[in-house]
Parts: sequence; structure tokens; C-alpha cells
Amino acid sequence: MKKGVFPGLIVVTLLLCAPLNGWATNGMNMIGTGAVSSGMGGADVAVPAGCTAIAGNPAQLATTCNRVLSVGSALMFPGMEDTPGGGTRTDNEFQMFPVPFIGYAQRIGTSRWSVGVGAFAQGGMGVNFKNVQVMPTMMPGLRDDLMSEVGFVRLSPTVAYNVTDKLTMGASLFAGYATLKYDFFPNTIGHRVKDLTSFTFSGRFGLNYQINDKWSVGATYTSDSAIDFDGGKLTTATGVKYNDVKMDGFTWPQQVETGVAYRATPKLLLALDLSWINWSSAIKTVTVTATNPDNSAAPASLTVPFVMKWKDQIVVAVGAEYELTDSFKVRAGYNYGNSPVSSANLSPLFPALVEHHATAGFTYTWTNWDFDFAYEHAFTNTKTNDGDPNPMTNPFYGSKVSHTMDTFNFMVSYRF
Amino acid sequence: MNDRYSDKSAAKLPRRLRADRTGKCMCFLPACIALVACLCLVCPACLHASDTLNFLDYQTALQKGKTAPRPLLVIFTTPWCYQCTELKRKISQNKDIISTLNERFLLVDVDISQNKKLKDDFRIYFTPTSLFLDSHGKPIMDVKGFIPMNRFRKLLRYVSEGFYKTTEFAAFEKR
Repeated sequence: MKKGVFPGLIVVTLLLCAPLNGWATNGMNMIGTGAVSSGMGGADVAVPAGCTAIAGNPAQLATTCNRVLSVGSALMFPGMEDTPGGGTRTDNEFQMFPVPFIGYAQRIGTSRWSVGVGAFAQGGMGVNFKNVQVMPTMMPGLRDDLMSEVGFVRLSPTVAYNVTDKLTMGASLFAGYATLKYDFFPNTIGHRVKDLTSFTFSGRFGLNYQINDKWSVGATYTSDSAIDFDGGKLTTATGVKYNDVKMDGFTWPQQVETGVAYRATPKLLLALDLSWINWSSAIKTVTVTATNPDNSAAPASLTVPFVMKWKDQIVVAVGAEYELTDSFKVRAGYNYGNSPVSSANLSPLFPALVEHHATAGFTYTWTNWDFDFAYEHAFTNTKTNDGDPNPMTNPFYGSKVSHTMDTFNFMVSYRF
Repeated sequence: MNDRYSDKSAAKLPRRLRADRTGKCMCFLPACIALVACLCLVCPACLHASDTLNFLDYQTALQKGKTAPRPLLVIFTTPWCYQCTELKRKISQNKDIISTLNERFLLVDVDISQNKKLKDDFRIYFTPTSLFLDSHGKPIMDVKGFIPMNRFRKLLRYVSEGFYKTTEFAAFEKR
């Protein structure tokens, strides 16, 4: 490998990490990290993963080569529409979210241990509606913006241990960093919040059992991450600035995944994953509290509750990988996860609506290099807010929100 | 031309005569089966000549190397090593590689969790390690980790055809 190639790739990836935003699609989670997992619809728990096990089943780290460095990113292109109750449709502004991944893994000599470390975007969401009608039934003609950006990146040291020839266990420690900002009709009736950040820790435990040459099963448990945002600033539509802003009630959920992989023929690998994501405990009512205003005439504190009451999510992922030649593999997958957003509390600011995903991808191997690519299409899903008609408690009553997504994943790995 | 002639003539033959020809063919069938069975008994390898790797233990391979000079390929593995399993799986999918290994190499599989001596003798610190030795047991080269099959083919050719005596593998691989 030419000197300087990988340092360059690392710098590029870290630069991509800078925005920290992603539009994830199993709620706020990515359906898979890395082009291999994504190409199989996210069905990766019982599938050998190598370096990307850092973001998947940590037990799969044991399948890695002697040393491997992987760098990649997903480019997400969300498409959204918002039609307020009694109003007209507004399309989301063009957005592209880079969702980077960088990881290094190696096996420790001839021992049973493998280790790795990586940084990856766990997920997030974001919208950008310009000039949306503000509660058109009450305030005809009034227009303003809606914008949100939530990003969550994790640094993950990971170990895996071959307990027996067939059983492997692994664990990841997640050090997370989250950012959030949003505009809620900031020029008319609402406010703008920016610079909210939070550090958080959590972990994941995984195992994999190779039943025989054809069958393997795996499972993971991920603990939740309480994300206590603070350090933000809030500006009201009337121009009052609050300098101490925090957000409570926002948690990245705990999750249980199980998976099975079946080598149907020497060249064909099939995989099925079933996951439970505990959004109902993680996202209930998110409360923004702002204090320390710059105007003594303004209220000393401001409290803005967002009642969200997300539902738990069951995700089913199926994937297939076929080795066309020794150096070329193709993949396809399908992923379904019920939308965690309840219609009664639907908000165009946080519309995690898509449910059905179709994916395809490939890996081309050249000497010690792997080039992975995957494409995901999340099919359009539409919901209408049918909650409390009182605009004071439910400003988005009657809003119809549609969500779709296209994602391109690419990754380069070097084995040495 | 012949096919056309034989088809027509067969159609014109009386039914009894056609039955006789079928009967004669049927007589050959047991004879053919018996012949194949005898071949398999005499040479069981005939059954799997093209799809099974002939592994030897290290000492046997060294002894054989003295009488029929062939390079040795020693693959050092551990039972829990996924990449080792994967390497063997890939090799077993490629009949040309199996054929080359069986015909031009003496193949040895060493589980280093059982055979510590060879592990220490050859200072094996990683699995899989594919170690090529000449027929006298002198190391030619080793390759650590999983080897893609295209590269594996080149390695086999590089060693079996003696290119290693004059050329570095990196240069050979670029040809």
C-alpha cells in the first residue's frame, strides 16, 4: 500500500464525520452499518462481518482477517412532504447526509482474541421545510420554516473471544456524541434551538454460534443511552435569547437482535434477523427547558414539551449473498420495521415514517482490497396526525407527512 | 449421415430383432458397473480424485518428498479460526486448485492448538499461515491470513514451477 493513502482516507472520513447528521430509517437507527450489512437489508447478526462488527454483532469481529482497516460512508437522500391540515403541500429542501464509518480490527496472533476500534454514525434524522403554512385553519396566510437535525456518532472499542470452536462472544463499549438543533416556526409563533450536545455511554454484547457448516445463529443486546442535551441556545420568534438550554427525555433505545444464517450452497448465503427496538421507553415526552434570557422582561425560564410517545419497533431483515466469482459477490435484501411514530403525535419535525426497504449491493475483491457498494431504497410511507384537534397542544393536527429515502453506501477495506 | 441411416434402419427392423439388440446392451450394463466397482476398489481415490484434498501428516510428507520431490504446503490452523475454515472452504470449491495441490504438492494441515512443536519450530504466530517448503523441508515462503483464490493459484504456480528460485513473488504476481 502506498504510504499516505490511508492517512488521507482517514482524514476524509473524519471530515465527513463533522456534520454528525444522518437520516436513519429503523426509527433513528441505520438499517445496517457498512455496505455489506446494508446490501443484505441489515441482516447481519449471524453473518461474518469483519471490521464492521464494531457497529454490528461484536462477536463477528472474530471472523476478521489478521488486520483490516475499513473506511466508508453512506450518502442518504431523504425525500419528505408535509401537508398541514387544511393547507397545501410543501416539499422538503434537498438534503444529503453523509454517514461515515471508519474501523480497524485485528486478531491477536493465534489466540482466541480479536480486537477492534471504530467510529460510526449510529443514526439520526433531519428535515428542512421552507415556507410551510403555520396552522392554516387558524392563521391563514402565515408561513414559516421547520427544520431539525439530530446526529449521533459512536466511538466503539470492541473485543471478541472464541469461547469454543463454535461459540464466540463479543462486547463493544459505545462512547457516543450527539448533536441536535431545530427550528419550530422560528420567525412567527415558535423558536429556534441550536448547539445542543451530549456525551453518553452504552454497550453492546453479542454472541454467535456456528451450529454446523451450514447454519449459524447470533444475538446481540444493546443497552440504552440516555442523552441529556445541554449547552444549547434558544431564540424566540420575538427575539429573546436564552443562553442555557437543555433537553430531557431523549434516549437512544435499548435493542435486542437475533439472527440466523444459512449457507444454502457453497456460494449462496442466506440470513434472517429479527430485532426489537424499545423506542417506547426511550422517546416519550421530550422537554426543552430554556433559562438565562438576555431580556429581563422575558420569562425567566421557558419550557417546551414535545409529546412524542414513540412505539416499540419490530424489525425483520432478510438478505442473500451470492459469490458470482472468487472476487465478486452480489447481495440483496429486504428490511421491514414498523414506524415507531404514532399518528396521534405525528410531527413533520421528527417523521421517522419509512417501513419497507429494498437493498442491493456487491463486493469486489482485488488483491488485499475489498470494494463494497450497496444501494437502499426506503419506500414512501404517509401518515396523518389524527390526535388532539386542539392547536395549542397539538399544532400539527391534520398534517399529512410523507417520507421516502435513497441511500448509497460505499466502503473500502484493506487487509494486511 | 450415419445418424440418419441408423435411425431409419432401426425403424425398419422387426420388433423381435430390436428387442434382441436392447437385450445385448443390457448385458453390457452389469459388466460396466462391475468394471467401475473394481476400479474403485483398486483405486478409491478415483472416486474423489478431483474434489478431495489429500492431506498428509508432516513427517509423512517429508518422507514422501525425498522419494518423489515435490514442494510441501503446510497450512497452520486453529479450530476456532474462521479465516482458516474459510480458506479451506474456498479451496474445496475449486477443482483446479484441488487437482494442482494433489498432483504437484504434498499437503499438510497442522492444528497448532494440538501440535505446539511445529508451531514453535516454524514460529507461527498467526492462523491461517500457509507455509511453502521445498522437498527437503527448507522454507520457501509463507503467507499469513486468508488468501483470495486468484492469488492462491498464482502462489501454487510460483512455487510448483520453480519461479521462486529467480523471482520475488511480488514481481511474479504483477506479470
